[in-house]
Amino acid sequence: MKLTVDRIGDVAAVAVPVEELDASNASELKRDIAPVLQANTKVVLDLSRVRFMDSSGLGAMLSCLRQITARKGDLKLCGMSKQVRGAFELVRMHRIFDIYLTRVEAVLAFQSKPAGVA
Amino acid sequence: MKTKKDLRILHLEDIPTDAELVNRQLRDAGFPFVVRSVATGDAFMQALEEFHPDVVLADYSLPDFDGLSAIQVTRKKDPDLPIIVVTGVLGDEAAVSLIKAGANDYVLKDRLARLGSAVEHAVEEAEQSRAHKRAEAEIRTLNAELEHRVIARTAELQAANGLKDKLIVRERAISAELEQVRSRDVEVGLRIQQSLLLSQMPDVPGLEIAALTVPSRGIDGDFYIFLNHPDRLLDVIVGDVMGKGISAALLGAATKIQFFKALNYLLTVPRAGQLPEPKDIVTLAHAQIVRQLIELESFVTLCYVRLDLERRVLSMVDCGHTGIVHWRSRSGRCEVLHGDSLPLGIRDGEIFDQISVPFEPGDMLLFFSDGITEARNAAGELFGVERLSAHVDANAGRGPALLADSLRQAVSAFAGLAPLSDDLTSVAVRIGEQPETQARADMEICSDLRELRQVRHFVRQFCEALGDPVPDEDVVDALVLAANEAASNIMLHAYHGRTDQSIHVEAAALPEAIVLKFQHLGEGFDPATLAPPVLDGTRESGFGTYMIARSVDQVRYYRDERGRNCVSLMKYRKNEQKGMYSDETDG
Repeated sequence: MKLTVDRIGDVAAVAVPVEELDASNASELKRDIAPVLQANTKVVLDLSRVRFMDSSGLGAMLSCLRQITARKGDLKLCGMSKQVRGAFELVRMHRIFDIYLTRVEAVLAFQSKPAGVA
Repeated sequence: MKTKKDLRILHLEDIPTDAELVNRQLRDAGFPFVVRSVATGDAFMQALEEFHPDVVLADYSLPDFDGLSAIQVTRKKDPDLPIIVVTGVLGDEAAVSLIKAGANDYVLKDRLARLGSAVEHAVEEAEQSRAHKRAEAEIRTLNAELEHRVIARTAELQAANGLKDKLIVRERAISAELEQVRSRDVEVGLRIQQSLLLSQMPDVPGLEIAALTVPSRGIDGDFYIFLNHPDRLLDVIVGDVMGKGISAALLGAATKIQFFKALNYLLTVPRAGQLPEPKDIVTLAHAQIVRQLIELESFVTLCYVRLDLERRVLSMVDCGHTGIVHWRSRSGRCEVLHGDSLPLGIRDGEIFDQISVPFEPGDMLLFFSDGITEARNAAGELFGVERLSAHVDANAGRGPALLADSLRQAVSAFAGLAPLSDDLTSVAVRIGEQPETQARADMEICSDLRELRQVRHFVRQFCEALGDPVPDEDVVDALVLAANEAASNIMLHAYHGRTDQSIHVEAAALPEAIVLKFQHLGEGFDPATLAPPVLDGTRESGFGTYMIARSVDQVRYYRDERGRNCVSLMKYRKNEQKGMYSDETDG
């Protein structure tokens, strides 16, 4: 999975480059995003291309969050489709993640507000 | 006096004339006797030893030896030897002391006439006393002997009791063991029955089916099979193996397998898209098993019924079974349908016949084992077909589940406390008004996670092609997600990640709901064994099943009549109860 990392100041913004994140490719994302999570403490995961996410995709999101939190960093999500938002809410993960509508909002949140407050 | 022998009399007297007087008196008495007269104590004692007198006469007062001494010596020698004191004068006091000392009698010298009878009397008394003592001694001996025997017998009895106790303990242990073996037999039989003999209820649109089996004390080989064919054909086979216990249960399982084999074999024979007829299936299955049944001296009664829901006709092969009860909704009355074929295992080469009976929506069919009609009450009466028919007439309107259950209750109430001698098996089938299936589609995928996309595409397309009314977008999204999770669970868990297995996906649209069904041959799944999902962010997996349950209105995990594991998802077309992702606990 080819990931493109955009740097906005000290924030790394990564777009998930697939339309469907399911059991067939979730582990690929986990593997390929690991170096980004290692190298940065402020990461925005841009989900605007993703039209469908299943439980494995949700698992991959949680994996990302735990890795970066372990390094005292923070992860923010943006660009969720209705289906993806619905899946997050179904297992109440929207309470665990900082979720923003757009990539700009997510990056700004890193700069203006302390981590963890949406 | 009885004795013929001479009476031996020892006479102690120091005055010869007195001695002679006594002698004369004795001779007058008229019994034969010899007398030895002694005049001194020494002579007296010597005579006691040597003369062996039968009776002693003693003068009361001798110069060196008085009557009292004579009495004492005599008593010492022989307590029963009679002694009579013969004396000149005697005061009352002296007389009392003489008798106390042991004299039998006393005779005054001036009244010697009494002597003869006194002697006779004393001798007789002595004899009686001796006889008495002998008798007493004998009794004592006997008593001792008896006591000895009682002790011996008691010891014997105690030993026997001990043995009896040991035997009772052993018998109890053996009974307990036997009971254990029996209950193990019942348990194994039950397990065989549950797993091999009784089938899962098929999921046939337009049919309501309820089956009930109450095993008796020993397991019978009652079994039933459902075969759900395409084109709205359902076969119901109910069988009963003669005999009880594990052997009957195994024989039931073996018979059942022959039916699957026969059906499979006949399905491979091309017959212009037609299913093999029940009579052909029975004939072939029977040919496979008849020899074994005859050899085992067992047989199987069986009722094979095919319901053609499209043509509304049933075909039945009744092999010595109970027949089936057909309740007609139009008349509200039932009749028992019978065939006339022989049970399986009676005759090699048997050809079986079938009969056809039309039915209508709303009708109820009841398959039953003879455990129901042959249940007996305390008076020994059979439950019988009439009671069964009356019960069906009264309860068929309540639906199959209540009919089967109320029938069980009725039979139990009828039998009272009498233990069931036979399994109660009943299968009730109600022909429903057919729900109109508006659309149907299916697809086959392999168990590769890359095929999940196809599943989603299939479900979305199916839903979006439905018109009037078009399902809500939320409903479609929820079904797509649930289908994705169900399929991925099957791939990852039922097939353990193997990618070359197949999964059959079916979609059906009913007026009110959309139903998705996934059939696979992987491991079955019991949601009850699943731990609740952890939703606090500490776990990255284990959401799938929870997400399915939250996304649709009904989830069923079951094994179908052909042994495939199935997951069926149903969602109402209108999201009435809740928004798809609404979270009641979310503020």
